[in-house]
Order: sequence, then structure tokens, then C-alpha cells
Amino acid sequence: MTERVNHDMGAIAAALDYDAELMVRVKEGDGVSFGLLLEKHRASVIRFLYRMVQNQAVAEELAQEAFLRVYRSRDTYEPTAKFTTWLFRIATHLALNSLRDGKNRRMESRLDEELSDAPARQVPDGRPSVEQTMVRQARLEEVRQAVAGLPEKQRAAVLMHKYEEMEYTQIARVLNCSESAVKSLLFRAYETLRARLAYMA
Amino acid sequence: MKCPLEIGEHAQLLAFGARKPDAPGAAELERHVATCSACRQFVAGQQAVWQALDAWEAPPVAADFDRQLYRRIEQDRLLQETVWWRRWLGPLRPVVLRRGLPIAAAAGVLAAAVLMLDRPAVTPVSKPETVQVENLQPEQVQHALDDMEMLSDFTRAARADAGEL
Repeated sequence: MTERVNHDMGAIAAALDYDAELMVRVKEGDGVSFGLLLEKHRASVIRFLYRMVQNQAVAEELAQEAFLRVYRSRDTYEPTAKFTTWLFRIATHLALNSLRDGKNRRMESRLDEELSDAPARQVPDGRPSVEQTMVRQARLEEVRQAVAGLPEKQRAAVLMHKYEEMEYTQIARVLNCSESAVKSLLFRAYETLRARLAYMA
Repeated sequence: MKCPLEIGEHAQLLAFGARKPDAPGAAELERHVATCSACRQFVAGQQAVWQALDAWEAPPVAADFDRQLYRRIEQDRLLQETVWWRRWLGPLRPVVLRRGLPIAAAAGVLAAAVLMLDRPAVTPVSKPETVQVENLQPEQVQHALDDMEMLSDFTRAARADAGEL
């Protein structure tokens, strides 16, 4: 019964989802609609993947694979859920596979290089000092390591909750788990992050 | 109200800490947080986490991302077509490549043999016989009847002579 209700709610959400409508047009052969979906979701998918795998090149490669799979699946697409749920499910699946494959181990040594090569961020009220830049870089590194230290599913849940502002229900559909499981993932993830980052307040 | 931390309603505090407009019971929760140090510490810590995460910006997307994606889509389309052909002709490839010619040659020889054997047809031979039989049969019958009459006369004559003797 609960499953049927969730399915019905998903179908209703899909019906109100303009992205799902665009995807139906892609299914009918409308390439322009695919371009619109790409334009709308490209950045968020890449950002999500970047924060998951913490490597921009890998993130863009995975994002391309995600959109390729979306396009490849156009003939069998059915708007049973929100388009972003489907899209992020594909992206999360690819990210988790990539992490398990250990692709990022080869690129970890580049993180320090990226950090040192990153230009200083300009702030509206004046140029940051070298000390401020170094402090900021150190804090960013702390944040990246704190997120990288989370188990993969906790990491995905936090990134979707914080940066994509997804509700628990949608995160549950993306991760193919229950809503209570998502709450548990987020509780443990944020507890870990608070322990590590709360001093930055 | 009951303390959310005591009853495990962290989601309520998370929503409150994020200052989401639809956070349930925000006003009541605000009064509780003001009096509960544990919840106050939780919210403060969570807000620090969010501020830290906000500072983590992603690099810009490569300028040729879309171009590369469409190229991959096209390559994938060509690959799918090749796979389709391979799936249908794949099992026949060894036969076609290694034994195609001999099979074709054998088939050609067989066809030629059938044609050659089939040329001297039975019906042309049978036709003249049939025609001859049809043409000759009445004469032959007449001759046969004449012979039988002659034999009959001869037999009567022979019996008569034998009787006289």
C-alpha cells in the first residue's frame, strides 16, 4: 500500500515536472529538448559529481556518461518520477562505481597541486592577504577531506541534501532506499561533519 | 514541546537550522532552542557545517563539454548500428568468410548438373511413341485380324484334310 502511494505520488510529481515533459519530447525525437535539459542540469550534475569524486576531469567524464545514458534510454523513458531523480540516480550510480574502481586514487596526488595553483579569490572589500588566502585554502582542504571521509552513500545524501536541496523523499528514490534510511544517513553524516568542522564557526 | 534531540527528530532541527520557510513548527522550535543548550549547540554546529560547505565551490565546466558529449552520442549511435549488424551476421561470418566460395561453387555445379540432366526430357521421347502407337495401332489391329482370319481358314482347311485322310 505504502509503495503504491509512493509510486502514485511519484507519478503525480512527474506529471507536474516540466523536465519530464521535455524528456518525453526527446523520446519522440526532439533533439532541441535534450539540449534544453543539458543546459539546465549540466552544471548541477557536474558539481555533484565533482564533490563526490573530488576531481574535475573525472567529474566531467562521468557527467558526460550520465547524459549519454539519458539520451540512450530515451526510447524506453517513462515519466514515473521526477526527471532529476532519474538523472541523479544515474549520476550517483556512476560516481559510486568510479569510487569503487579507485580511479581517484591516481588523481589524489593532484589535489595538492590544484590547491596550490588555485588563484586567490577576490572579495568585494579588497584584496585578500597571503595569510587570508592560505587560511581559506586550508579550510577548504579540511572541508574536502571531511566530505571525502564520509562513507559513499552518506556523502551522496549530504551533497544532494545540501547543494541540490532535495527533500528526503527524492533522495530516497535516488538512492533506492527508504526515507527513514535517508534520515539516518544524513544524521550520521552531519554528526561527523559537525565534529570535524564546527570549530570553523 | 518535547526536545527534538531527545525524541530523535533531528530532521526538524536541520530544517530549522537551514531556516527553511516550510520548517514545521518553526516558531515553537525557536522558543525551545532558546531554552535548550543541547539543541542550541546542535543548530550552531550545523550552521557552521553549512557555511563551510557553502565555501566549497566547484571549478568551472570545460568550454567544450557539450561538444564532446554530442560527439560521444554520435559515436555511440554508430557503435549501436555496428553492434546490430554484428549480432545478425556474426554467427554466419565464419561460414561466409571461410566456406562461402566453395559452397557457392558447389551450388553452381549442382545447379548446372540439374539443368543438364533435365534437358533430355522423357515426354519428347514418349510423344513420338505415343503418336506412333496412336497412328499405327489401328493398322496393326487390322493386320492382326487379317492374320487371325487367315489362320482360322488354314486351320479349318488343315482339319478337313486330316479328316479326309
